[in-house]
Amino acid sequence: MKNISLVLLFVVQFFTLYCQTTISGRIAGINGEAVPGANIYFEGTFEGTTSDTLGHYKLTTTMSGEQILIVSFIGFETYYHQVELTGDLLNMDFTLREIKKDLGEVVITVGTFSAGDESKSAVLSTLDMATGSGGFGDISSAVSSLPGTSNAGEEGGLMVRGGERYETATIIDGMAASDAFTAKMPNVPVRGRFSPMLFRGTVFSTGGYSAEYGQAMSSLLILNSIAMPKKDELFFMAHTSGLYFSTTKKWDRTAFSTSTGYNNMGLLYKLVNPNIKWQKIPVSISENLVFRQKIGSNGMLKAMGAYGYDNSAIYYRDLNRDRDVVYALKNHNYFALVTYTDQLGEKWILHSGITLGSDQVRINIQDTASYEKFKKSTELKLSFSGPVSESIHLNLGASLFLKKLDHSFTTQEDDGLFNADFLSPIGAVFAEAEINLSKRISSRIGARLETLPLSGETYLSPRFAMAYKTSRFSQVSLGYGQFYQQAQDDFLIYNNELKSEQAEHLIANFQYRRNSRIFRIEAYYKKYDHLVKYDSLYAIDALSYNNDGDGYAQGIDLFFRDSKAIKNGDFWLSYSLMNSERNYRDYILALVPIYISRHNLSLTYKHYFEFADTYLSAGYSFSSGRPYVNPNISEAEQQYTKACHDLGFSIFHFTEIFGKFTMLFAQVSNVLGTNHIYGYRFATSPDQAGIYRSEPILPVSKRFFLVGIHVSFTGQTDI
Amino acid sequence: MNFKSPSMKNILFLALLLLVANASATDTTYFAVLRNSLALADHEYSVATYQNLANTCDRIIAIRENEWLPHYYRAYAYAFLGYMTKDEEEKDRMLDRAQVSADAAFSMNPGESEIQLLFALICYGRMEINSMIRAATYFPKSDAALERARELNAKNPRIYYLEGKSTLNKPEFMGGGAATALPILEKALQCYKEFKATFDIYPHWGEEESIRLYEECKGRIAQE
Repeated sequence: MKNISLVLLFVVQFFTLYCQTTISGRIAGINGEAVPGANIYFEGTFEGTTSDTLGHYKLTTTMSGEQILIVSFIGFETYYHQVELTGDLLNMDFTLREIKKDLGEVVITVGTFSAGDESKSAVLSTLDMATGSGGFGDISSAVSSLPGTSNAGEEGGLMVRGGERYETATIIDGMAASDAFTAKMPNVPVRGRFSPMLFRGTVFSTGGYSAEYGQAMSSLLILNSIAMPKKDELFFMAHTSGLYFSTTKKWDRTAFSTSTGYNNMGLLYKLVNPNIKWQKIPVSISENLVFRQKIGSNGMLKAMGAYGYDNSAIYYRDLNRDRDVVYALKNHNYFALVTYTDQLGEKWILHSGITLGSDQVRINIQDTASYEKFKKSTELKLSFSGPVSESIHLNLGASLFLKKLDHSFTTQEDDGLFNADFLSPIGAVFAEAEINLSKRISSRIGARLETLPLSGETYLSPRFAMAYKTSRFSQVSLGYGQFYQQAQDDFLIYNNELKSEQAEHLIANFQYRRNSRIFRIEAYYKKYDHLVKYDSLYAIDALSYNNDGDGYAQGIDLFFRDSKAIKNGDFWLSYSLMNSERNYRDYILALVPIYISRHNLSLTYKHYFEFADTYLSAGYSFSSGRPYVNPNISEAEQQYTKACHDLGFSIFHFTEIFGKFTMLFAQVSNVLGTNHIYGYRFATSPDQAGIYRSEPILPVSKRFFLVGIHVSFTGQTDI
Repeated sequence: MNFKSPSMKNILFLALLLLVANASATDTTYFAVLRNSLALADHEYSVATYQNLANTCDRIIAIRENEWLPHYYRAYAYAFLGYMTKDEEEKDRMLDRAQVSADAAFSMNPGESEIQLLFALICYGRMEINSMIRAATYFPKSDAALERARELNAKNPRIYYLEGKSTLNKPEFMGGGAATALPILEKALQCYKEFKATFDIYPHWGEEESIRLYEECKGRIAQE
């Protein structure tokens, strides 16, 4: 018995020794270069090895007979080879063919800059957004350091590629925020109502954007709010122009935040001697409530409520009468937004949302007129997105936007009273497909159908974009689209039947991105049509308004950012060359619009000093002279202002005060102290001497500065 | 046959074992294969040993696609290959692979704290690339992953190792620095001592590095 088992044991051992086969060789690419790290193994087994740095491998097995040897390596075609294992030494070299698939993602970048979101194509970070050198806390200030924007200092907001301010729509969590900027006072730039602290991801589109959005002829600023805060938070900020207080409470699946802001420019204007004479120093209050609730395994309900109040008055020169009048503004703005997102089945996502907005603006011009504009709006939107096949991704949806406007206008001179109101629904459906034609080519084809009963219009706007990966680091993209936007309220109140204004974009770009370096060049051509024209503003007669205006804008935008060349340093440059003419509003012929600078340059450098826990940021911007018509010279010929140079600094120092995370910050603009003149205003009629009186349009103050402190009671504020 | 004879039983058992060990590896537990590659990687921190570990995992996954451990170790290998890579694009690609496997492991074993630590590890790798832009995104993400790991198993020493390491590298004003990191690393060492792996190739990395960081921490505090 014992012997039999011993024999058995030896047989087993002998058998296995006899059958041992060793295969060795080299794995190489087509040009003979070694492929290290390749996986060489027998199909259906764990037996295998990895090629060394010279591409050599050696694999010993006790298996016998026919086996399939697999040679695989990511980025190369897998090689299958049948071998007969006979117990000999085998030598096998393999040549692997590289597949050109590891080019990286091809992302459509035409007309798009993203910031701070998760995508690898982010161009600016959340910190950049929060600390933009143009003005602390204004969401548009960081974005305006990107190419394609005009630095029209008296306007504020975002003016993109020859477009006016109103041509940029602000989108929050997929929904239109119709009054995202404060009400306009003459010569005072508007500011964003929402704190950049509320958002994580920002996408700035300079044109050719998706069919999901409409009612913006030029551009979109897409803001995505924080999904779920990381932790409880409590912080306050105090600076020379105001106070800000925010608190967040987070439960398991629920979170609630509130933030309150108070701004008062009184102290600043005492110190800097503003160009504008204030009868009432600007005071504003803002309140934000944010609620988050996770529902089920993937559902997310976001709700936001915002209230803003502005009150200010300036002495405004009435050039016709050669005296100052008080121009007073009061604005109450309410905005509520609720969105719900959930997963449908495995891969489809449902987005739904509702907004409610109310904007009440009262303007009183001393001895002249007073207006009251009361706008109520609501939007309902539902959309679905998901893949229909591996290479096709669909986005479908519908929205209904309703706007009710009440406007009253009283002139004191002739006791005139004008009242107007209208209700305008805009219905829209859209469909868009993202198609990956190959690993190198991605395209987006979509269309948006909108109907406006007020003007009796229904139109279809096609959108198209594609990107072609030219190498691992570079790609070219192309974009085209038609964009419609309802005529502005200021004109609709006089003439309800005005048609939508229209723009057509054609954009081509090239982008090179490697190791924290981005270079992008983009050329565009934009054609405007059906722009509103009128004989004179505030003409009550409906017939004096028409859609006969048109125009174009064309140019080249350059962007370069390098976050790597200098340790702890970060640098970016934007340059835009812009050419535009329009015959619209009260222009008597095609002219360069007054807000256009032909050359716009912006340089930003940020440096983090580790030893001092300090961020220093320097920004320089240059805008070439802007046109104006001087009726004392010629009604048909444009004059140009001097170019504007602005050098500004921001400094952020991080420290601890009584064990609390504290940030001290200071910002200053126009260090060089240059006198900026944005343009000139002229009286509408000449004085007795036959001269049109004039006044330069100046910045609110020659220089701005801000000094402040931010204290967090709950550790570092998540920016 | 008399199975009662102890020697006989032993010989048969040995023969059986040899048969099993030498037969086609499909019949063997994948643990043995993984154990080997892991031992090599533990022994030498290099591209070769970690690529080998990743390849071993690939072979195991091809057969046992529903086991979380091979996905875990594939992610682990690619995360460290990411750290070893200089080129940023390549680094990102390695981390992409790590992410895919970590996600797969997570879907198979969502209650495992070790997988959360992989997520954190990948975030740290991402931050190495262009931290100026990425820190804002990945710091909160890695913190959240550590937090979830803690919820799942507060005694996992690797939580405190990673937390200690990230704290040590953070500037003081952000709640970092040696003084803050020291108790965390102490806790890591304590947990490493008490930690009992459920099986031998259960994740076990980070102990030596914790000791080294702990000493570095003490050194820095002494200097100040």
